Amino acid sequence: MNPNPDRPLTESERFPLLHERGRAMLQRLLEHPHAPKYTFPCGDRLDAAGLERVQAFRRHLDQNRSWMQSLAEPPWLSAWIKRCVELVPFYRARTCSGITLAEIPTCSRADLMRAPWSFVPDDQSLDDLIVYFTSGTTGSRLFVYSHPVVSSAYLAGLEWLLAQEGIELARGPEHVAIVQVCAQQSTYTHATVASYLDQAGYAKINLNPHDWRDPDDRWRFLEDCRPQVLTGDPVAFLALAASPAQVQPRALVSSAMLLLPETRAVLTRRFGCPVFDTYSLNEARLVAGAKDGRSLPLLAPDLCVEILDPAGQRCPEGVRGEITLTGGRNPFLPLLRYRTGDYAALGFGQKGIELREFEGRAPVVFLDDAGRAVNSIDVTGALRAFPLAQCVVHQLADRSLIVKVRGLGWTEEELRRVLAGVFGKGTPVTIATLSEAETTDGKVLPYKCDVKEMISGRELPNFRWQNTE
Amino acid sequence: MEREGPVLELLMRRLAECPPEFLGQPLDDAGKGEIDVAALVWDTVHELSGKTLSVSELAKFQLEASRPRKMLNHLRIISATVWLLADGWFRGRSGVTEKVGTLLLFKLVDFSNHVGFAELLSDSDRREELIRRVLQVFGYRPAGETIAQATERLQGLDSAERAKVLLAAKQAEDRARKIREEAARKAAEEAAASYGRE
Repeated sequence: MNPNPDRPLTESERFPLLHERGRAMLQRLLEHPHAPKYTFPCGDRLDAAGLERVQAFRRHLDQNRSWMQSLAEPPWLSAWIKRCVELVPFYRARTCSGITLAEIPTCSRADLMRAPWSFVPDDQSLDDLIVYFTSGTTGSRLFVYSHPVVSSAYLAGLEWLLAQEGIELARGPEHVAIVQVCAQQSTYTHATVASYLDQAGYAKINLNPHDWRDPDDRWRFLEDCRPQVLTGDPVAFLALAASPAQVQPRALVSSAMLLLPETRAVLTRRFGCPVFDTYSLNEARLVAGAKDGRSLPLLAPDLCVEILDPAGQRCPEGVRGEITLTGGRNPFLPLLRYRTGDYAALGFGQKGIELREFEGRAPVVFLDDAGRAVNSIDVTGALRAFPLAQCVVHQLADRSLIVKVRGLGWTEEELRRVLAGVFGKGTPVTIATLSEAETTDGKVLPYKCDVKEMISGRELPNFRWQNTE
Repeated sequence: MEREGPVLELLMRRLAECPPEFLGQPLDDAGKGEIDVAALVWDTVHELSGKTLSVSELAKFQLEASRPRKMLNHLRIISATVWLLADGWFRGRSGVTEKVGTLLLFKLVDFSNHVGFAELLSDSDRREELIRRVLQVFGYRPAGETIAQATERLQGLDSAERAKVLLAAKQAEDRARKIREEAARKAAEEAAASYGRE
């Protein structure tokens, strides 16, 4: 715990378990001659007790997998509900003891945005609290309270997922285990070592050339690091695929956006390795994943997955509905019927329970006034300046934009200025207010592109990089 | 509260009209004060149950000069209760005979911890609560009420419960504020590596 948050963390706070060889790997990544201009110091914050908990989670994944063969409620559920109802203010205020899972009212991201502190159990020490923020499709910030164990448990889950397909993640400070690739106008970038992987290296990079001293350093750095795994989203992977980088990872692990079959095929050919699709979200981290096919087998027995219809009733097996989670491994965010906003059906595949017809956030790539690709995440980032409740950005076939917004704190002039920064001044923009009637149960599809030349997932995009300096 | 008891309003009126003789300063162990609460209690218990309290039991009703307001409040509430029990309805009643000593010795401590004597005099809800508590100890409910109605009404008036709810609400608010403050500090601090896109 940092007793004085006004000062940066010390190395021992950032890396409680760092040893000499780990420090050498860290220096290699940080001081690499072709390293990016990292924007953010970052460590795994994992101490010995935390490491033991992550290792226990990994062992738990290997143990009895019989839970994957049944949709029955898990044996830990009643104790979990009791704990949540007794100790978590949010649930205590809306439920009573002795209630069954099906009787518990659902909650959603909106509840979490309103009062994240109300999800923290009364008996949870705040010493190891860490806070992330993430932007939704409207750009509004969600603060996620988390714990160092949660981040490292993601690694354990990833390692287990790869191992199921015979892919070993080599441990130790001689290896760079993972590079997370982004293709955004701006994002935090950092290098670290992972104690769970015996201090193997990890770096998060952004392909925007302005994040590097020399644009070609992007490829040099990756080629020299030889990461075993690349994590990222389909848009970032396509941007990397379009580059001259000669990297041969053992696997790509895609998340955050829908991975289209065509995209997977392009990436598999380009990088010569399997492309895993995963379902992972800030509120619960890794939920499901697979190397191929459209279905995603569930990963861990500590999450109970329900599929609900809009009225909150459970959908029968095979019927699509909203993925709703109970359980989890984040001590600051115990989930009790948390509606994720993502949709799928539950079914049984070769490995057991799996998410079928999964539809997360579809990747949308727009074109700017010069025909260059614009990542929808950058539109989200630009609109973050406005406290919008909802927005819809629709690019028509003629590349003009129709932008509809709900919320306060915006003027047409300001919106036009921000959008011109993303799409170029030559893109015609029509701005209107979004009405309730244009939503479905209050929800909207935030991004849509009708441009014929739109990046379909089969093509390699030429990105529009703004000078962000 | 299995048995139907007296008309509530009559006892409410009796308590509201508590005479000045019962409202004075209780005698302390130095002999100062106006009302000998121990003597009032001894008389009441003896009259209603035929039993006599021991010296050590009576000592509970003598104000220790060294012990301040809390004990004073308790003794004043005992004094008002003694006035209430002097109503003819309590005389010879089953339940009263057996429990009157217990009532005065033990059952009003919690009430007097949460209700001030001045509040008892001025607030009809508190007077009603005291009467309902007294009747409950004896196994009675006010005339004309079902057991469910009487139980619900007493829960609604329960000062100890109200104090617990207020305390719990304050603790919850304190905890939420502490988490918010800590989260604001941590938001300014680095997070941990997250390893994957979400």
